[in-house]
This record gives sequence, C-alpha cells and structure tokens, in this order.
Amino acid sequence: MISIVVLREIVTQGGILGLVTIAAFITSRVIRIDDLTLEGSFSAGSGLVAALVHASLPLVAALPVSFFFGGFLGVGTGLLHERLGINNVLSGLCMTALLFSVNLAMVGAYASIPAAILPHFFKIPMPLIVLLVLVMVYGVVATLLKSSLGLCMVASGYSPTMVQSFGRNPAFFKIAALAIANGIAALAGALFAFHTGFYSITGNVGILIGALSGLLIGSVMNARFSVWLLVGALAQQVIFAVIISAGLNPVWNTALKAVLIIVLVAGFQTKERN
Amino acid sequence: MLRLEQINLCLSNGEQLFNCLSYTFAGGQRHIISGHNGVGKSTLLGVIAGLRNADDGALYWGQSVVHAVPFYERTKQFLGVVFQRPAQGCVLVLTVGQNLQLAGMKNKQFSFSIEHDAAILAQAHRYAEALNLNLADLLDRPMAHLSGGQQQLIACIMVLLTKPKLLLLDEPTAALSPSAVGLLTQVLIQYQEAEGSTIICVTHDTTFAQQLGTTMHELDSQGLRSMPLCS
Repeated sequence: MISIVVLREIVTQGGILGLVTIAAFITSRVIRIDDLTLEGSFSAGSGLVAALVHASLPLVAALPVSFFFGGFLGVGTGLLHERLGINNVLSGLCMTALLFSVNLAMVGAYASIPAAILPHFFKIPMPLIVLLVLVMVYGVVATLLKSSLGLCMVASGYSPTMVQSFGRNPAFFKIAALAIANGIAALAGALFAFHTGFYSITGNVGILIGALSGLLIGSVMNARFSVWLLVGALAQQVIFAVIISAGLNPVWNTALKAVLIIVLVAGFQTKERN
Repeated sequence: MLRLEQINLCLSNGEQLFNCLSYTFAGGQRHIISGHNGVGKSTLLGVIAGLRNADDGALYWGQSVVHAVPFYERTKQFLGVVFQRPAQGCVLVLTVGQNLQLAGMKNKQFSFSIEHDAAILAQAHRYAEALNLNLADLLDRPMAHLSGGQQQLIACIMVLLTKPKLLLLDEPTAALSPSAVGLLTQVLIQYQEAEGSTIICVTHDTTFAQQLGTTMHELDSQGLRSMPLCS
C-alpha cells in the first residue's frame, strides 16, 4: 500500500522529472539534437537556489531567474554547435563540464539549505507547486509547437534546407529551442532544490537518463508531444515507490525501469509488426 | 538577369567540375539546362542557389553581387528552389497544412498563432486545383503519408506561394506521372508569365523541357552553351 507521503513524493519528483522529459523532447524530437547540457542546467538551477539562499537574496526570483539562466546555458551550447561547428554531443559535454566548475564555485560541492526556509517557502504544498509549473510549461510548449515559431523549430530539426529555402536561418530556431529546453531543465532543478532542501553537485546524476526513459516510455504510446510524456516520467516514480513499499532493495530501481522500457518497446514493436 | 563570371569549382576528389565558367541567363525566360549525368547540372543549381560555394568566381543577380549571400538570404530576397527529392523541400513529419503554413511565413513576423493564413491557403487551393490535387483532403495528412508525386507537387506549390523572382527547378518531374507533368508545366508557365520571373530548370525529361522551355542550354565539360529550341 502506497502511503500519502510516498504519493506526495511520486507527484513531486514525477512532476520534476516530467519537466526534464519535456525539455528532452524539445531537444531530441523537435530539433533532433541530443543535448547533454540538460543535466548541467538542472544542476545549475538547483545551485542557483542554493546560491540565492547563501547570498541572502530574495528567493521569490529563483524560478524565473533559473529559467533564464538555463536558457542562457542553452544558447551557449547552441552557439558552440551552430557557430563553431562542434558536434552536438561534444557541445553538450563541454558545457556540462564547464557548469560543473561554475556550480562548485557558486555554492561548493554540497550546500545544505536551511530546511526551515526552502520546503516551506511557498505557502502551498510542494506537489501542487510542481503540478502548477508542470501544467503551465506543458501548455506553453504545446501551444508553441503548434505555432509558426514551433513549426520552424520542427522544420529546422527535420529539414534545415527547407527552412533556409523559405528565407529563415535554421540555426536561430535550434538555438531558441535549446534555450527553452535548458530553461525548463534549470527550472526543474530549482524546484528540486526547493523540494529537497539541499544542493549537491552530484544531485543531477541520472536525471537525463530518467528523462530519456520517460521520453521513451511516452513515445511508445504517442510519438508526438502529448501527456504520455508525463505519464512516462511519472511511471518511473511509481516503480520506485512500489519497490520501496514492497520492501525491496532500492538498488533494483534502475533494473526494473530498464525491464519496463524493454517490455513496452518490444510490445509496441511486436504490435507494429502485426 | 543572372550572370556567372569565371566560376571555378573543384570536387573533393580533385576533379575540376567548372573551369572559368561564365554565362548569362536572360531575365524573364524559362531556361532549360540539359547534359549528361555527372556533368554538374545539379551542382550548378547549387552554386546559383548558394547551397554550394564555388572555389572562386562571381555571381550576379541583376546588378547585385550575390555569391557571398547565404542561401536563406537569397531565398528571402529573390530565390525559390524545387528540389529533386521532395523531402528537402518540405517537412515529412508535419501535415500538408503545416507545411503550407511554413511556406506562407516567408518575410513575415513570427507569432504564436496556429491559424492558417487565409490568403495563402486560398492561393494554395488554386494551385492544387490546377494540379488536380484535392487539397482539402490532404491538409491534415502528414506529408510522409503522401506519395512521392503528391509530395513533389505540394513542394512546388509551397515554393510558388513565396513568389520567387528566380525559380530553380532540379528534376521536378522525376516522381510525377505524365499527366501531372503536363499540369505542372501549365502552372509553371502561367506563374512565370504572370510574375515575369526567371525559371532555370534542370531536367532529363525532353517532353517537359520542350513544353516549358523558352531557351535551351547544354552543360558539358567545356561549359554552358546555348542550344536551338526544338519544336
């Protein structure tokens, strides 16, 4: 039986992972760039909250500032890739490596944030905050992808020559999409810091794998931008919760996620073949 | 008028494809370029479009020097290209309607609007009707679900919607049935005469070439030369 406390964790962490899954969708499926910067941006978002606390700056600005900071990092990766011609994976790796040092310099390897401040900073419960942000981000991205700007982003990923043949520079749309995706990842990181009440330089490890898993699970049900992406992200937290509730050793968490992905993808491909 | 001056282009394997190629395409004409396979017809279109850089030489559109202008700037100013492979001229994962929406955005401001431009859509319907395409049935279908011929016709419509002053066509009939080729020829002639634009078309389809062309040119290892128009 899953307790209320566990349910809150599922919703909060599933929602945060859902945000990173949306970011991964924008980079992998819209502009077709596998961007590793997302992991660094997530950490930068968390670090920024910690830095604001340590510098006694107003926390109310944390979420918008983290979004713009992430966006700035996305632009950095985009410029490395589009202007300097560096391979997209390498651009993401360089940017993430750079961020590792920046985050360390900003807040140190481990920063405990006073528990009395962060989790209770918002007047409403954290799961609701995360859900609210998730719904807003999902709505904005869904609208964006249907708009002319969003269509240009999709076209830049799938047929850059076509975008050029209609008088537009695809590099602009790719950089804009990277900025939005990394802004969302940093926003998720900031929410994660608010939720956990601490910042760790290694707190982002595995977040991109989780997001890509969510993307994969969601894509099995619907290849387009849909709520299945969020279901995919949430499913992983449910698995984790079930493992905890069943008294299983949590080390089997990732193995069970892998099995779930294999079953879903193999099932979907068998269905497609038939 | 389009003028090529002393264009040199060496391929990566060291082969000299164009050696001091100079030529002038008169404005307001429908030019057909023919030649053997591998002689560099598509590459020449690529150089004119800006998709491929010549090693040296100059390219003039009217009085403007354009060889240093990037492809997307040329398309913004005067150029339209119909590619041999429709996948280069459209986005297969998007619907026909979304592709037309993208074509209608040339030189317009971005917006978060998801509505089709009514004027663009009406013009697209007129072209589609002339090409015997039922656009209303196709609008919500992904381009990938269309046949190669339908994709090519939609790609042609998309380019015509942007009203280019110089239209480059690279084997546009490769995927089309004979009847569709006839309809496309009529549409292209009507467009060129109405807009007074210049068309340069590379094709191996002699019937299409004779019906569309007002001037013929042959490309060989010596360069471009004018050919008599076959009746």
